[in-house]
Amino acid sequence: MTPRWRNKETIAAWLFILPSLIGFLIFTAGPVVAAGVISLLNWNLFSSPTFAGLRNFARLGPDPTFWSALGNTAYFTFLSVPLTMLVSLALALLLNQGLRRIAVFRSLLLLPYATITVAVAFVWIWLYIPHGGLVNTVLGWFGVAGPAWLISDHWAMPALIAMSVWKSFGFGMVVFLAGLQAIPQQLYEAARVDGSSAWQSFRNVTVPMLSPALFFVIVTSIIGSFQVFDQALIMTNGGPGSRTTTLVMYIYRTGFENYDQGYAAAQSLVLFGFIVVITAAQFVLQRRLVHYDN
Amino acid sequence: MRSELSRRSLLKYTGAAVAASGLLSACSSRPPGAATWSMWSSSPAERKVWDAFSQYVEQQLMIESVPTLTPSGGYPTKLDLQLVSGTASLVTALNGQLIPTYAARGAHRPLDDLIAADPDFELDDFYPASRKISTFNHQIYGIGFDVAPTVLYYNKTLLAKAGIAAPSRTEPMTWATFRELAKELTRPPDQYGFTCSPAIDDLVSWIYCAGGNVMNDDGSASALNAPEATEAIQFVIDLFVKDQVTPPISNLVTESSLANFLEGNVAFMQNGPWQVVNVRKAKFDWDVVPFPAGAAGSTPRVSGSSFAIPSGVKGDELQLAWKLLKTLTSTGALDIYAKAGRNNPARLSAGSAFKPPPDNLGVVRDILAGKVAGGHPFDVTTNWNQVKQLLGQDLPRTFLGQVSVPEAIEGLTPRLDVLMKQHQDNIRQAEARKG
Amino acid sequence: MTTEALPLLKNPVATRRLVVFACFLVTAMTLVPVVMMVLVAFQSDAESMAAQPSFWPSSWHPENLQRAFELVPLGHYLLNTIIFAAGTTLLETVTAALAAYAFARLNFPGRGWLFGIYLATLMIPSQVTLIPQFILVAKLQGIDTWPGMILPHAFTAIGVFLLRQFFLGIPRDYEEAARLDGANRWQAFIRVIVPLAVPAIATLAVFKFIGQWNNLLWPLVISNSDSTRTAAVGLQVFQDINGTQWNLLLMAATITTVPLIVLFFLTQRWFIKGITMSGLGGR
Repeated sequence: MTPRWRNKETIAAWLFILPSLIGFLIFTAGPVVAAGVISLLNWNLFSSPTFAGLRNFARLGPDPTFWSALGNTAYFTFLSVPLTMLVSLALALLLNQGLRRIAVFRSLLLLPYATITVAVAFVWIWLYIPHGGLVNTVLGWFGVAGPAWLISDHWAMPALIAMSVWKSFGFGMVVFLAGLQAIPQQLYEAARVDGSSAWQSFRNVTVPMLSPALFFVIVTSIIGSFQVFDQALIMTNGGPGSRTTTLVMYIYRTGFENYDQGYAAAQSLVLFGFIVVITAAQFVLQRRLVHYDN
Repeated sequence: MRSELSRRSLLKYTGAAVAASGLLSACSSRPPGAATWSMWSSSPAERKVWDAFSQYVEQQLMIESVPTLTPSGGYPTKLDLQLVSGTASLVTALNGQLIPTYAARGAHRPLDDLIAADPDFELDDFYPASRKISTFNHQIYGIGFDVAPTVLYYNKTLLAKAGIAAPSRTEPMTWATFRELAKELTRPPDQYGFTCSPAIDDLVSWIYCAGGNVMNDDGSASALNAPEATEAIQFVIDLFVKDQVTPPISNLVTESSLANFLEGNVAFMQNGPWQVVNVRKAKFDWDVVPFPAGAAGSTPRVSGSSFAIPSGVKGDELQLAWKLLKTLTSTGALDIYAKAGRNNPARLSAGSAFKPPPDNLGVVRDILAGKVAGGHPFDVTTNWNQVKQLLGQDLPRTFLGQVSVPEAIEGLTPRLDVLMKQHQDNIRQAEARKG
Repeated sequence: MTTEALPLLKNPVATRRLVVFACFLVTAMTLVPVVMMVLVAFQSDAESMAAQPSFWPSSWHPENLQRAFELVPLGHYLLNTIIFAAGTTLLETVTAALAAYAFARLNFPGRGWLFGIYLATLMIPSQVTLIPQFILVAKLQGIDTWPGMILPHAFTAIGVFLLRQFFLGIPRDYEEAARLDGANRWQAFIRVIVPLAVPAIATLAVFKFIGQWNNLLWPLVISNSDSTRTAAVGLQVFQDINGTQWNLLLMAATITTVPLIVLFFLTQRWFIKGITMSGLGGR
């Protein structure tokens, strides 16, 4: 009985997967494999490529720009992801308080996510203008002398991080809100009956029930933050100096401005390696921390 | 029942796949025999110009003209993708700054053989600066459609109010005079003497006027640390940091000398004549004069753009491409360009783009023709994107006063030398490909 | 039915008032940049192009709305954007839901590996896959066509990932009950899983739609003519080498955002579904 069952299950599985798989292999996985192949070549886009073996990877070690870009990206990720998660979760909790107008607030709070980056990045540049920009003006009301933000060595990256958190918290907020709305009332009532405080019921009911959503948002946020590009390009163009040059920016420049396709592909594979390790670690942790109902 | 369902879905999916591939192949391949060309174009005003070009091409060649107009920001990326996938037009516009970049990598083909085989084509009708910009490694890769020197705009109203005589229409002033004037006219925060872009594109004009350059004559090493270049850079930085005759910089990315000048409180602006279209919106009287002369005279940067033919174009298509290229850069076409008043056409025989008012706009043509002042075609390398990136990373801090000029130059010279070596490598590889 | 996650203060009325106040405050602060975007859109040319545009317009220019539409065929571009965003969203949502079901519920050899491959493609930056994708579409004669524009962006792994996570959280009891009633896998999927998964599917659809609505690079390189050009590309018209027309650029950006807001309001009920069971969490 069992072998036949499994066969039917396998066939069914493939039928369900096939529509996605065909398109995925052709349009998504194929180009990724191509990028991998390109990393082994010397290619300037216009002349015939020559085989470079692992030389492109060897160039990475002594390349200071690569390491500084990697460092900048890590700095960006490890600050923006927790901040974004915090803001998304806090706002989801706030909106989940049984408001009647939740729809309005939820839509309004999605606006930052929905505005097109190339336009709203310029607005942020104006907000960050050292003398007369809104941010420093408001800081001035509290007696704080704001820094030069986007042209300051130390504050350019935090300025970018703040803008990115603002731009991307909407996604997590909606995901968490959906998750929160699905938590049954009974669980909270049971906790209340047991005498739990607000914090305890948050820790013992909300967090475990929300853990699949938390996991999803963390994984996608980290993956996404490693690929931040548009706003950095527009707001600082990687400067001052190379302080806000992210790895993806360096990869883009290497490939499209310096016409060094093989090197760009090699860099992206290394970036890929880092993300794989981090994501795999998260998947391992999820077995212990994330609760699925089975 | 399940097996029936799966058969049905299988048929469904196969059908969809066939339909999809059918759709894909049915549409939009290049109409055979059409004159395809690509150009950057953002504003509707620009579009009108290129539409007029298109009509002219159709009149002259009696075949369909199919221009691909892309917003200027995305033009290089799109061109690269088209070239690598073999879907580029027969003729593509190239910014002069990028001609060596594309030529050295074999993206576009040299035109010398086509020019030699064509007795009707007068290369001499093109300004020498345009020809120089379109040349790489002693071969011609493009035919120019526009070319212009950097000039000095001045706010007539502001100068008159301060009781200062307008600068000479044809004689460039000396750097010392310029500096004095700028300082005299600076009354922060209401009024400033000068504005330019805090980037190598504007710095380079001063470097050329001082007799220096970004790299040495054979392009093998950086020349920024040579006294001429260093003094020129120091002069400009002093205007920003020491004399403070420039409006304060609030963001290096959106800093616009045009926006500063149009505010009406800046006396002089360094910019190209291509901004005339925008400066005409000014609410004050203004005019242009030749660039201030340094030790080597008034030789600011001369920039231009050309049309080129991708390497992959061969056989009959090549003949069509050459005809199209000639038509797009013919006197008739460039007259259209001149009439639009957006920039100076690359041909001597084409009309003037800059008609009064104001009075002195004609000086642009005179400068190009060598009658007045002078100019220096923009010297770029085969990896100019990287050079620009490097200089754009380190030099702006000097404008902000965060780093001294000698420090900045010392810091970037080793890396610039490395880029020059790579530039030489690119040239060598281009040579090897030729043979 | 909404559920309270945190009973904050003893007095429920005070809590409610505090919560509402906090919502207003947070929303107001969050929307400052968006508000500024809209305000600059109504400023005069001179004011918006100043070195530092002011926050509040000194003069209002509602004609900028008309000007934006005149300078760029914005209406036509918006239509194209709808086609592009809807096309990619529909295709990805449907195929991802099917595939996610297989990954979450069905056992087959290579399941783990295949899912890993899906995930792996998320970790390669798009700048690097741009060239192979473009060449592929060019070889298939898809340049400047709708299939050429839509297909390469309709099969990303994010949909499969999100829905798989969601499906894993749905208790098996419901499907098992359905199967005991004689339903096959397809019917179990359609009649049990999909209705329960509406919030997740709606989330995926909305975010995919937003992402493709604002996608600039791909439509820029794929479309050569106005017949396929999208609004994001149209915005570039206001940004040429001679300077940017801020007021018109931001007016066009504002206009481009309005359909999304309408979408949010229209799809509200799918997000706030009154189910007491499974979501991204829950029993």
